Amino acid sequence: MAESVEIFDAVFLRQLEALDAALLRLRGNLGEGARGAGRSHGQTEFRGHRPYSPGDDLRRLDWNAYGRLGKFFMREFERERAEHVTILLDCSRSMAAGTPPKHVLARRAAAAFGYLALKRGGSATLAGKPAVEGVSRFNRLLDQLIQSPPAADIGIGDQAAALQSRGRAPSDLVVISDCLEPLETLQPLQALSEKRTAVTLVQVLAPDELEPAGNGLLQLRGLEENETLELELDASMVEAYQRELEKHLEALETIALRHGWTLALTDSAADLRELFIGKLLPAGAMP
Amino acid sequence: MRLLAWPALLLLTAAAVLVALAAWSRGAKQREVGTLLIWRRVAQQVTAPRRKRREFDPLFWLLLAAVAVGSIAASRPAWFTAAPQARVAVYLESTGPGEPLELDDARARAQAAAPGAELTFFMAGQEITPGSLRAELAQFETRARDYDGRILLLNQPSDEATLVLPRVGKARAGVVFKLAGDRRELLVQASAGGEVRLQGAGLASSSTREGVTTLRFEPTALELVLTDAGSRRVYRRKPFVVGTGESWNTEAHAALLQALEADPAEGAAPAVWLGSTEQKPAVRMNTGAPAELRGASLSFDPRHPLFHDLPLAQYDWLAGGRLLAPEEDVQPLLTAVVDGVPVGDLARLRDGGRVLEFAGDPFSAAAVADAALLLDNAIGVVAGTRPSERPGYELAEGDPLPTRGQATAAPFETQGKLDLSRRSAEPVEFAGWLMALAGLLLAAAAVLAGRGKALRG
Repeated sequence: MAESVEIFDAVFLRQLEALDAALLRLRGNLGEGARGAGRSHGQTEFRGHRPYSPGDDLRRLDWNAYGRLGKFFMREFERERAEHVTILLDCSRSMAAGTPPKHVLARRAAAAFGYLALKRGGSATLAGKPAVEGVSRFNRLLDQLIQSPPAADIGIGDQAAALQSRGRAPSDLVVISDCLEPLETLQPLQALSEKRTAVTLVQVLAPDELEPAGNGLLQLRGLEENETLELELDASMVEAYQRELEKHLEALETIALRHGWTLALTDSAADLRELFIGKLLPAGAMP
Repeated sequence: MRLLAWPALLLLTAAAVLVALAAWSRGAKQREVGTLLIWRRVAQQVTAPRRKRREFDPLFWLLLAAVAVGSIAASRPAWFTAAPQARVAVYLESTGPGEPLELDDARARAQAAAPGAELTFFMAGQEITPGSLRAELAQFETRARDYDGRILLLNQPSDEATLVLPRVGKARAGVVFKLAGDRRELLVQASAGGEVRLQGAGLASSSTREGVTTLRFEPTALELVLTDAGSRRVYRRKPFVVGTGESWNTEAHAALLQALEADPAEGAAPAVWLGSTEQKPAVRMNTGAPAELRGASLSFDPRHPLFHDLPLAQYDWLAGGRLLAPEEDVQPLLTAVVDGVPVGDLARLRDGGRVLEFAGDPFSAAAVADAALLLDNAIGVVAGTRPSERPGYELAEGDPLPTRGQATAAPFETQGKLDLSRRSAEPVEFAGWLMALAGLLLAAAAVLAGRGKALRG
């Protein structure tokens, strides 16, 4: 478990607590402190039923409805809807690139989203994994994240399609990815938005993906494609790269605006505080 | 410039490593990226393949120049300037063993021939290994290769290609350079004009020709004393004593013994015994048993010293009718063979070659001259030296005789000339300047590397 020590060490856990406290303070300043502070966890207003989905907490299963209707329904509460977060973590090989590697910040951010949701009495689901409820079970989420190294063949588009195929779309979806793939692959994500899923997209790029360094003849090996591309890097080439990257980011931003996503771009060298308070909060995300 | 100096070789190796590293790093550098998505779009924009630019890496060239200049400096390059004083090598021929060196005169003549030059003298026994004049001159040529000029001080005129001066200031007279002969006659040769005396021998004749006096003496004693211009030498004759045994008793035997010219015993042990059956080394006769040798043939090795220069056809080895029965631990020299089968020996060696046995008596039956030859060989086989080869008189006291050239040394006209036009040069090294330049280049490379790192940072 050397990787867990490196990614989720004691320092990280202290950072999480500090982040939580900082966000509570900021919420208070923004006039929303009563929302979480005045109620005990779980004591929320009944809102209605929704069909059961694998991974749902069986304690919320409405056995009476099952006895009468023969189908599983989950009881939903107002607070629960707000605090249940589904995390879609990009585990494709491209996340292993960069210094520091993108997957480190991505997994830490995923853990932070989950921790904040659990801390506020909600639950967190890492896409494709069982849901986790209660902050005391936060370690389970960490274990799930540890078991999600950047080695998968599928990207976020495929994972979003899997979510879409489920009966019920998640209410709050956090997507953490480098989004360095053809934007057409985000179609399933757009489809989820149309089902009223609130999407927060955290785009993590490595510093040398934002500003490539060096010059001379380079043989680039793409981790995602496992292919090589030889080119001679110079100032004009770097300029052309940055133009293309800018185009890609603008196109992504356009999609995000069109579908009401919260989009935050960060480089993998940033820390959690910088991401959540410096980027996500200003962008409108309120974890 | 010494390219074999190890620091230079080390630095040159470093330069080679540097070049190899540069060549190795000149290929495409590998870099991992998350995805090629953006890069492929960029590459598509480059419609025509860019011509690969020739990379100029100033850091590499600065380092290479520093190492190259440093290696040249380490080889200690130098330019040469003419030496202010000519260096001349002078060969002094020996005047002979025990003869006066006459160095002061020789030195003065050399200095007069090369005024102002720095002279270095070479003499046999010191800088040069003694030998023949030709061998000594060859050594001198090798040692004097780097000198501006060469002077030879020789006993005799020579047509060498350099300046040749006389080794001696006045002609030498009465210096013996040869004493040869045997116990009956001695030949003595000396440079003319001096007195030569030989005690223990009577002067038979004397003649002088082309500066050399030849004297003939008849020795009368075992010890001779030779006195010439400045030295005294004693020569002695090594006595050759022959013992005889009971079977060496015929007149023919006595005649042969007289022909050997053996010395009287006078207490000395015989070098060989003839006819004795007990003493060693010995030549024994009639040691075989009577045998029928009709129809037998001979088997022997004609290259054996017993048969050296011997008219083999003059001997009838089988006529004696005696044969030595085959034995172990003997060396057959002459074997009788019947129908291809050895039947016995006619002559053989035993006791480790110290005793030569004859089955019969080959001396009495042969002609005197032939018998003398056979006896000469037989004694040579057991004693190691044939009586005909034994030395006459040998030097017992005093120095060896000088060579004829040394004994007849005389002043002569100066020959050849000293050419000092090609003056040797003195090296002036400039390695220090090159080292300083290499240091500057390294400093520039360090500054460049530091700036590059700062820019990257």
